[in-house]
Amino acid sequence: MNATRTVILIGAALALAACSEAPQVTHYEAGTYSGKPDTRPWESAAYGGDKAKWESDMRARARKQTEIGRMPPS
Amino acid sequence: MARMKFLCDTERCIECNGCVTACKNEHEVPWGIQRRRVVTINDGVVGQEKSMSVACMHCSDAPCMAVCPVDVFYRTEDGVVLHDKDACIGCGYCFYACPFGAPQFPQEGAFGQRGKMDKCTFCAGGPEADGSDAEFEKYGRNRLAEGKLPLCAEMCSTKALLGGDGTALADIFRERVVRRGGTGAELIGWNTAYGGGEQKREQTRGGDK
Repeated sequence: MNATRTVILIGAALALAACSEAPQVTHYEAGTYSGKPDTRPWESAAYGGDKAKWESDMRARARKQTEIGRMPPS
Repeated sequence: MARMKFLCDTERCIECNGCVTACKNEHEVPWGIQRRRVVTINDGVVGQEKSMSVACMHCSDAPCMAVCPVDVFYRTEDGVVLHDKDACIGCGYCFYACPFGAPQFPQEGAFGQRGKMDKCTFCAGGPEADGSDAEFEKYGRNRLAEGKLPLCAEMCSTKALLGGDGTALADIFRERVVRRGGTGAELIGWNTAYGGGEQKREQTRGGDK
């Protein structure tokens, strides 16, 4: 009887101590793109792979968005 | 290498919704989908009204990419966040993750269930042949491949909305705030970009009288 009680008490103590608790922090893994491949904008028919020209055109186009650049103050 | 960004100057935005209209027209965006919208705070309060045009901000560390269970998002070499609609399952996780509310979902089918996600592409199309009908139908026009910038920014009447390489936009904005005047932190910084700029200075001048 005493032995059974001792086993139950030890079992209860272990259960309350949560010694079997699994880690609850998720391990994140960075995913990799699973869709279709895409071409780059300078590989279009308009640029034919000329990346330098595309970047130059983009910069020039961006600068046109400022009226200060287009019409410098006198 | 260019890093494409949008920048909206709240000191200039007049809530005309021209950017919204341009986007919808250029890409023939279906009814109920808003790739871009204008948000106004303090609407109707004289002197405190601020408007800002919001769409996908093409985050450098995009939360939509992090939460997508089928990994349909990718970032192009020039920093534009795009996705493959063919693989999208329309789960809506990206909508919950996005701090700007950029992902949009059309209603499809007889019961109006959520369709494949649609969002601003920075006018860069998607993973289809550049300029093809398939690309236009799924993602809209590919203006970057034509050497053009997003139409919403290019046609903004007050040039509040700027789009393009982040370095070029920073140069434009720096020129602006220097011309606006002021000293110290108000010359360039949070208050100038997001409120408290010219209107605040006018209030201060009024208070001095």
